[in-house]
Amino acid sequence: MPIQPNPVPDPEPVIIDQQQREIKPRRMWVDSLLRIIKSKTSFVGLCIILILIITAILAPVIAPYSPTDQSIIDRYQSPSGTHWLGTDELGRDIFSRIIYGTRISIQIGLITVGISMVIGVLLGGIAGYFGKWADQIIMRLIDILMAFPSILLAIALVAVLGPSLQNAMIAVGIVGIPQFARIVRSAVLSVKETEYIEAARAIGAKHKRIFLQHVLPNSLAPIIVQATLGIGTAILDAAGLSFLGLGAQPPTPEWGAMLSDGRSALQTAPWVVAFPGIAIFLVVLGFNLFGDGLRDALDPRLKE
Amino acid sequence: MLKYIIRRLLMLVPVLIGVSILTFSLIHLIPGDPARSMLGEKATEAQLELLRADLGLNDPYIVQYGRFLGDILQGDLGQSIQSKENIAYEIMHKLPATIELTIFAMIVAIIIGIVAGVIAAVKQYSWFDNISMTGALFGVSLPIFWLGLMMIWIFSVKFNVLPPSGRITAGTGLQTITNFYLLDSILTLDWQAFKDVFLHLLMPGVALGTIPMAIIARMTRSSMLEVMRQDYIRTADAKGLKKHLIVFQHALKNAFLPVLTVIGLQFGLLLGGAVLTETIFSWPGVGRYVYLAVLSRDYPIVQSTILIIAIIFVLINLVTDILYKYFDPRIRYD
Repeated sequence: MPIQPNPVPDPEPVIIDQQQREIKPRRMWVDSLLRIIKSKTSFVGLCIILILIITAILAPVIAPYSPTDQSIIDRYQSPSGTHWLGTDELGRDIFSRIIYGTRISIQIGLITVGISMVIGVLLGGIAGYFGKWADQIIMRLIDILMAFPSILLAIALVAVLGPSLQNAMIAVGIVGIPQFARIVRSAVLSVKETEYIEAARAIGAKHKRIFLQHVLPNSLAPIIVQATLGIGTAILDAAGLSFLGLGAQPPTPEWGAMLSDGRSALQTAPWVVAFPGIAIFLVVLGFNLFGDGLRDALDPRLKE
Repeated sequence: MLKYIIRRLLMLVPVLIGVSILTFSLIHLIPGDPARSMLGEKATEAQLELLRADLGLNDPYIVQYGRFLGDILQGDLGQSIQSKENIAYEIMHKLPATIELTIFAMIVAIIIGIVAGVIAAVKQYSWFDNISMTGALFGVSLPIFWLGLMMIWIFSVKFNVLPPSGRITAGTGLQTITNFYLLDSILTLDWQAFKDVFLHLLMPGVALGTIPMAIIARMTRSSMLEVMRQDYIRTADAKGLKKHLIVFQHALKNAFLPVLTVIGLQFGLLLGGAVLTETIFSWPGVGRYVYLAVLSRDYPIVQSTILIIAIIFVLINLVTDILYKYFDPRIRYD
């Protein structure tokens, strides 16, 4: 007896199966993720970043007090049950300010690295892809930016633009452009000569399409690594600017600015300085650990 | 080699011109009226006009830039808006303090960084390796301004063993020759002053040196590990050479090149880090000078100081490249 054909043939599973076998890139990302989780240090980094994000989202729930509410009679209270990390010179709860500060840190990290990355990828991409005079001009500009110690250039730019958190982010963002431009340029240079790019060119693909569809995705790994490590550096540099009074202005609960506020009372109330610094350290450490792990995971050639 | 040095020097010319254009432009990037920004809201129109004429802000940009460049080439960096001091003189006077601090920081970083890196590599996966590399990871993530303040709290406030600020205790009576106090105290055989200056250097030096120390330690370790796997090390081991000879004579020599690059790069970056460190420890160097100028909107000082630091930074990078080439003749730049 002939086998009854299925009345409603369902070709879906077969297609999905085939697609899964064809889409290799997905496998690479899954592999990388597994490698990151397996590595102890980068897992710690990932956890710190996740805690940071959750804290930022749940800040109003976690923080026992408002970050800006002043209470002069409670000024410079040492850490206790009511104020876990003590209070500052205006009687504000330091724990609550640090909790709300996570939002600012994330904002600083993403916006600054966003500025560096968008401009850096564009410049590096153009330099690497088109070469010749475009490369010459762009890379000489990058050389000039790199002729300054980064934090100093950032200070100079803020000095000109005026002290504010927004300008500090712009300054630190500009200072970070060269790293991205150089990484993208060298990645593009190595991808450009491969056969699949030649093939794309042969079938008449336009520059924009080749760059966005083929070159960029294949240069993505080092960009992601740099972005992760860059967030740590950006938070550190922006905190430095705020510490100097050139970034976030009062009463913003930015960690660098909080540290700066506590300087004058270092002798009597060291906790005002100590805890925001620890917060900066932990977050930067988190991004550094995760970035290192990402590099090992995405670029196995660099692995020991 | 000489040809290479000359070529590198020539390559510097466009970079330095670019640097001068960028620092020149700073004053013109100020939103609104630069003169108003420098003198404040209370300044009268006459005062503003005087300052504009003083700084030549009414001339076309190209004329202004030409004058800016001409002045610099003659060693004239202009004068401070607030105090009317000669900026070139001030910088020359403050630069030794900054250079002394950065060199001290770098020496601390190099000694501890390389020793830790070598031991960590030789005893890979030992407790020392784990602890020192964790320490190095922490080191690169530390905000140095926080570290500096914590050190002041521990060593000056709590235990009162180190001075919290300045370069020297007032009244020490050190006879200054070079303005590098440590050197001056040696030259004049003034050991009392030497100890005093050294104690003043300790905290800012270590705070400033922490990041390069961590980076040098990591670089030394990974570079050493790479070299220790090479065949000639195995040969040296097989012929019964003593371990310390293998490590120092064979391995470290060859592992040193990447470390040297990192040292050069970090040395330059310390000039930037000095702004934060000098501010915290009231260190009378150019870092604090530029910071105070930023606060008082004394833009000529900001421009000149940043230009000078950028030139030093570029020169340090050049020296690093030349040393690299010197130590590794395989490198060819054509």
